Parts: sequence; C-alpha cells; structure tokens
Amino acid sequence: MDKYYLIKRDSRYYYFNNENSEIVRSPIHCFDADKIVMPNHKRDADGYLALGQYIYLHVEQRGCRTIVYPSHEIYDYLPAKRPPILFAQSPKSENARRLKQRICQNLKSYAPSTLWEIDRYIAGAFDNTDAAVYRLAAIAGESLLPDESETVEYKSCEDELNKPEILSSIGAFANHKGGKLTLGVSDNKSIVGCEKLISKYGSMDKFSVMLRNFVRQGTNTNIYLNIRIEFEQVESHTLCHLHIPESPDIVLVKDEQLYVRSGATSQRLIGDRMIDFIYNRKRYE
Amino acid sequence: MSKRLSNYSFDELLLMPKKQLEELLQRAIDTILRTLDPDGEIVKELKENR
Repeated sequence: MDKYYLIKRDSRYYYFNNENSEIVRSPIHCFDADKIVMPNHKRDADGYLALGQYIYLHVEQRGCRTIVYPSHEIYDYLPAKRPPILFAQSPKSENARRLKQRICQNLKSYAPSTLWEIDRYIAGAFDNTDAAVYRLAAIAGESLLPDESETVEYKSCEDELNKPEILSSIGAFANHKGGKLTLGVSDNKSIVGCEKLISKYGSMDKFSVMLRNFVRQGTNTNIYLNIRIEFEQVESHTLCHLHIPESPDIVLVKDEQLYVRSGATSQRLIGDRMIDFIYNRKRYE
Repeated sequence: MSKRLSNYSFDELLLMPKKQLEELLQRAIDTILRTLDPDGEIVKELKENR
C-alpha cells in the first residue's frame, strides 16, 4: 500500500508514486468505479480526487493485468461490495459542455416522461464524464448536430458506402448552394460512426483518396478536386464530413443524372424539368 | 423525505393532482440542474447570454 498523487500529463490523469516514480494510469488499470467515501478536502468540484491530492493504493499484477484499488483500511466502503476504485476525473470536452448547457437551457420545456428518464439516469450511475453527458443528451433528445436541410445531409455508412446515394447528394449540393454531407450519422441524428468502414480501407487518408476517386469517376466535372474532406472524433466514433462547394458548372452523376437540393432532400430532375434547369442556368451565366 | 420523480411509476404520476405533479417536476428540474451544474457556472453563462 503506497501513497499515489493524482497528476495530469498531456491531458490524461495518472496516479504517481513519489518514492519509486511509478505511474499508474486510470482508468485502464482499474476496476469500474463505485461510490467512494473520502474526505471532502480531497475532492474537487465534481467529487473526484483533486489534482495534487494523494490516495493510498494497492497495485497488483495479476497475469498480464495491473489491478489498482484503494486501501480499504483507509477509506470507507460499502460492506459486501468489492473495494471501490476511484476514477480520476475525465477531461470534459467542449462538445460535452455544450450539450450540458443545452440540456440545462431546455429542461423546463421537456415532457414529464423525459424529465422522469433523466431523473432516473441521474439518480443511478451518472459520473459527469463525457460519456455520461452524451448518454444523458441521448435520453433528452438533444444533439449537437443541426437538422438535415438544404445544406446539411447525413448518411450512416457504418459498414458500407452507399455510393449512388452519396453521388446524388454531392451532385445535388453542387447544383444548388453547396453543403455538407456527413458520413457516420443516421437520419435521426444518432452518431453511429464510420470507423468500421474507414478501417476497411486502412486509414483515413486512404479512405479520402477512395472517396475522391469515386466522385471523380461518378461525375462529369472537377468537383472532386474542390470537395474538402475532414474527420471528426465524437466519443468513440469517427465522422467524415464532405464539404461540397456550389459548382459553376452543372454536375451530372453517371453522365446523365441531374440532382438538385430541394429542402432536406436530393431530387432528380428528368425530362422537361431537367431541360428547364439547364436552360435557366445557362441563361444566367 | 419526499420521493424523487423517478421513484414514482407512470401510473402514479397520471393519477397525481396537477399541483402536486407540478411541484414534483420543479423539484426534479432543480435536482437535475444541481447535478449537472453544481457550481452554477452553466446557469450563470445562460443568463449572461440572454
């Protein structure tokens, strides 16, 4: 049983043993947290061990795993449960902070059933980490993501790429005001991530190259050169954003299909409507 | 001690007098706010942004 101080290095929290310079990382090396009773002066505003404070820990090697838990001779714990382990405070992302803000702002407008669900969740295991805030936001129906619109569209693309749909969206945005197509989000704005899909191509760079190539092959203009591709990490998921600019030239998909954005959907124009669109476009050039 | 909102079943809430339900919901809102914003920073920021 040794004294370990809570330190922070490169945005991560560690337990540091001053005497033998041993560093133990939380939470990978630890059990899941139960509530721990500990003196108030050791707690930070969120109830976790404050930076610079120490805790007595047992550190054991069990096979290839390092198990860390506080000495229950020093701290109270609930009998009949295994000794609780303290989670170091998780860094709070800007996204999580904004979600909390949105929930606090909208609390009074939630239906009683939603308030009931939130109250039940908070009464249970809410530990104020980013993951807990995201789960709470899902219960409350809050999302950081805007609704689909003239300039915003989502495709889930968890395991595979729906190429015809992606091409039609890109064509529609390019023939209208431009827009952002995000892969890894379902229609109801749930974040599903496209990391499984990206891993099939090996890396984000290779995935970007593949995307650009198939847009080049599927459209008639140089739009593929002007699409900006960026990746975003949200919780454990990866989103891929394609920023599509408005195109000065009419973009056709597969040499003959014309799509335009109409509200939150991509519409294919055929026959007279297609001719009118092209005529009007040329007239104003 | 008063029960919290989630300790009631939906049936109990449906049969509850309106005034009592409103008070219960308000207490729940206060509890949730205290949990999410224990030091009042978020509420302060929201007031300043109004």
